[in-house]
Amino acid sequence: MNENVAAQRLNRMIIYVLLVIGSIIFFTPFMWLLCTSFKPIEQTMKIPITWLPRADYINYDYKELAAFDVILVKVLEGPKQGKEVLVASDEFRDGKVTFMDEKGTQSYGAEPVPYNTLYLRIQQSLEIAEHGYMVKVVEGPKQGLRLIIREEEYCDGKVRLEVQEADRIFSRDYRCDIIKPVKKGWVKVVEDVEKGKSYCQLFSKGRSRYFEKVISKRDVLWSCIPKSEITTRIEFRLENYKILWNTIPFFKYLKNTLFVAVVGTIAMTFSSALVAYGFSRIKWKGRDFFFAVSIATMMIPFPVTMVPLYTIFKTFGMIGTLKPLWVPTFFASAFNIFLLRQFFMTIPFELSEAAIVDGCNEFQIFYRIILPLSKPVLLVVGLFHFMYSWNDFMGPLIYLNKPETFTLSLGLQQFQSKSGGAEWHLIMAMSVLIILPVIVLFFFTQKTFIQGIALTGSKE
Amino acid sequence: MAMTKKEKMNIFKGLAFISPWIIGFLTFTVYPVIMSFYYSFCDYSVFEKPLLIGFDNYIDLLFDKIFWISLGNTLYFAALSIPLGLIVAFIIALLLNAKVRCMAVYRTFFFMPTLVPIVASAVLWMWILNGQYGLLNNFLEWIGLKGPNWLQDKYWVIPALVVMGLWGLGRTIVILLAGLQEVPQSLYEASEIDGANYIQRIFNVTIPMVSPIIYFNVIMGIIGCLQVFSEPFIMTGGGPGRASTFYSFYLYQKAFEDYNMGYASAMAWILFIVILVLTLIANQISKRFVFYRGGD
Repeated sequence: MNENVAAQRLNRMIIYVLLVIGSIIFFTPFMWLLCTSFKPIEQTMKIPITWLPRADYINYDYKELAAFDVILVKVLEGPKQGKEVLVASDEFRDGKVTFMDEKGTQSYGAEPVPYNTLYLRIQQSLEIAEHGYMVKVVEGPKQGLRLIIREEEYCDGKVRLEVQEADRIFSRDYRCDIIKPVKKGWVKVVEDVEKGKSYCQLFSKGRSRYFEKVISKRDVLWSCIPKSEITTRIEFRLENYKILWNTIPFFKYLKNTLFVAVVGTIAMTFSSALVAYGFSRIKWKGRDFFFAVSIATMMIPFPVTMVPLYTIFKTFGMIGTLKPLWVPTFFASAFNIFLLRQFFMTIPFELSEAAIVDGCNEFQIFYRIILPLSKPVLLVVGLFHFMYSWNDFMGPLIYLNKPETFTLSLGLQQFQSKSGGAEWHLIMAMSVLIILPVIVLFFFTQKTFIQGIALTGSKE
Repeated sequence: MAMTKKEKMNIFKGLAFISPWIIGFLTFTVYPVIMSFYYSFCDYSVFEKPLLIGFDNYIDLLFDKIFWISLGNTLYFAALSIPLGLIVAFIIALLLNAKVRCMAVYRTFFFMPTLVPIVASAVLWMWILNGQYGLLNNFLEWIGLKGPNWLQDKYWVIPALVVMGLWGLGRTIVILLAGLQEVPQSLYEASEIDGANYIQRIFNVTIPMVSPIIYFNVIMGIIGCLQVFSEPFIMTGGGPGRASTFYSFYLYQKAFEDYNMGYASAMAWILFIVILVLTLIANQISKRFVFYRGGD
């Protein structure tokens, strides 16, 4: 007997452990989504991955400088084609990088370059072996330029540089000043450029930014520091959501989605209830035949009617408007009719008879007696339609073609495909905004939901 | 037999109540079904009038390599995801049915993913399955495995989509759980007296008792798999190559990218027939295995 109790306790333990592991697995993607949505873009492209959003600071010249928003991209076209440049993350959008050159502000196609740390490592950006120097060239064609050179390239206050004269390349020695020795693995950072006039364009949205625009720029002020001088703090970037808000017409998408979902939910629930009443509470010849037909229509897959439906809506000039998404809801749906009918059948018929004696007509019985008694199932139908409408993707994709009519789902897909799979922090932020209302709705209606699912699943 | 006045009145009333459905049925079902059948024998691009071409669309389909690839991909996906999904959902439902404390909390965890809009879950999983920065591959690396670049690998893209599908199993879990809770306790007690162990009880009592639900989920799974569209559309664009071109995705491409509506309609009808055939087969098989409780 004692053994039995012990065995049961063990079983119980195993069940709990499995449930907890399962729950964690099912919940992890949500955490990943939420965490990513608060990260700076460079953190999303960092290996190994980290969960909590971080912000990096550099202790430099006794000042603490925020190091953020920098991303290394490889330019794919234009005069800088093939070059890797460090740009502000909001200068890299939709697979294009924007920077100033001779022709003014230009956009070129670019792709992000993966790198292991937030800052450029010297060994990656410049070919340096174990040791080297940061020098300032004081004569020759590269006068004034700061460079990082290998130890062996430096000799007696001079650096060997390759310079081009006409169509030939020469190696010559030029005088230079050593600013500081640098080591492999040091991090290249950009100095505080607050004072530099040429960096005015870097002060955007009220925030000063501390990085050069283009690495090859002549008068950049930068330095190298050991990695130990970088401090990292956990910091949730709410700013991502602000950027998202400015990038896409989120409010418009939300308005469209809500309009379709709310109108659709009310119309669908009411019309389905009306039809279900006709199929359940009135005895008439041919009723069962019509009901059987309505059940049979559930077998028809959407692709069969997809093309002609498109033609119909096109004929009525509804393509590009929200109408194809809500007009059909006024005409009930077979599945909802079925659900409601099942419930209506269980309401005692004596109630209707009593109402007839009291002088109610059929519509009054429906409206005053049956509907109030059917609140739970009406809620299920309404909730499910709302969810369906909120989540629907194929409908909006087929019928909507103007950005101002997009729903949230379509807006997210368009945003995702436009950003070329780079701005994952913003894509995740938008996903959070789409998922959040549904989760909140679920927590308020959990019981209805679960009952509804069980109802739709088992009573077939 | 003449109808009484009341009977006539009732027919009128009944028709009045179901009139929204009748209008909708004629406009959004009967007419489209007839037209779709007609278009499937036409060359039709929406912009011009349909032109009858007989069986050409169907014959072209027979020789369309991509059509067969898409059908094969879809069936492969269904063959992986339906059994796997059922097994995982059944195990989780069994665990949840074990009279655990805070069951509602666990159930919520398993159910929540089904609430996520398809586009959001697609982009989230693109990020999770990302070969370089994705959560999955970094986890695999952590335990010492090297994960493939899931969505860009022609052998791994469909299994990756199956794994993603497992995340959205909540609905099936809840349905199975409701079924499990209706299995009479007396049956378990009887089988325990007969000396059946836990595994035997599952196979001899639980599974037969919930077999109608399993059957229902298989049917819904078949219909659902054949209409998978959003995942390949958003996540892979049918690639790499044609490795994740599913049937409904190819149909959409034909209809709304090539504007070959006649061809797409023919594909839709074949899809309908495939669904009917598979459902009939499932129905035949179910007669042997599905156990319906009498009465109730």
